[in-house]
Amino acid sequence: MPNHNLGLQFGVKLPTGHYGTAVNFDNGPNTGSPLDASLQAGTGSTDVILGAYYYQAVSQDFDMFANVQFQSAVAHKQDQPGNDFRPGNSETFGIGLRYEAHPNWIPQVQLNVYHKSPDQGALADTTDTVGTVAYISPGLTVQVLHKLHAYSVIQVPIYSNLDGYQLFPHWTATVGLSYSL
Amino acid sequence: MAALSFTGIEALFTPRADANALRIGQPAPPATLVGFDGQRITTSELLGRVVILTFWATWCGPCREELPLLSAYAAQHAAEGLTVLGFALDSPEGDLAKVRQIAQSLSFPSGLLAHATLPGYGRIWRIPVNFTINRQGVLVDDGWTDKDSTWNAARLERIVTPLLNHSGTAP
Repeated sequence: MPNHNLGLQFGVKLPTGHYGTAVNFDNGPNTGSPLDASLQAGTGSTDVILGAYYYQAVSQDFDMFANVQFQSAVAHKQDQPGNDFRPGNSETFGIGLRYEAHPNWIPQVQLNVYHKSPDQGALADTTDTVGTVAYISPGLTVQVLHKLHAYSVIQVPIYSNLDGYQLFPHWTATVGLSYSL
Repeated sequence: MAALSFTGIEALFTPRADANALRIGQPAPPATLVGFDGQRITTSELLGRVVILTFWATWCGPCREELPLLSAYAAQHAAEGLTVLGFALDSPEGDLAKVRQIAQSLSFPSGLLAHATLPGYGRIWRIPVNFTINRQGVLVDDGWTDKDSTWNAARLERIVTPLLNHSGTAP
């Protein structure tokens, strides 16, 4: 419906993924030693996620939206001196436009900026985990059924300032379904 | 992409029947209100009367401010040939009791707008918005091109009262 919405988001990331010595190199010169902390599936940390979003129709055919999100580790299981790790804080900002002329298919484009502070601790690779990246992300949402939508977004980096050596995709694609109750 | 086949890829290229087709001085697109009492009222049946289409919602503060004024004006001028149709944009899954309560306090009929788009009027992307149709069924005030289409006493006197003073007949 045509209105403007301001929402707040709150989330908690739990330390569910493998971390520490649970994942080791299984071949190569480092066989048996733990994989780099920043490359492991889990961080061992409990993170708080805070965010806000804003949505408003700006013309007959266009809506705009913006969102910010902040994630910070508030507790970390790897906390022994010489064997500690805490992931760096991260901030995300996004702003975009949706073309609403056709209710059944809605193109959109958004700009996302992501910044991450360096990981901390003896196990952290502090010089290779900090950086800022900006993406342009075109996407499309299609109404499949009355309350079922399919969406796809392609994320293409347009700016990056990453310290040290970091993995960085040329592009990523997301495809999904959403169902509104 | 496979999902496109469900909605019909031809829809991508078909001109929208529900797009904003409003032109001042041209016949207003027909609009049908299904009131909370189940009664259907179509603007094409109201030729000979001055018609105001008003769009409101319970969560819209400016709408709640203009509705009592519009309601009083509608009651005062009904005998002169004024009909107001209220389209509520509240969600069908929302607090319908509250919507009905407000609707019942008004002198004119209201009903829920099933979709955020009204054919010929386009997407109702901001409210309050109002459209005024004269006795000949011609659009005389377009809420989309009028930056502030919220009713106040002066605006009603300027736009609607002169139409009521003309006892024009249907074409």
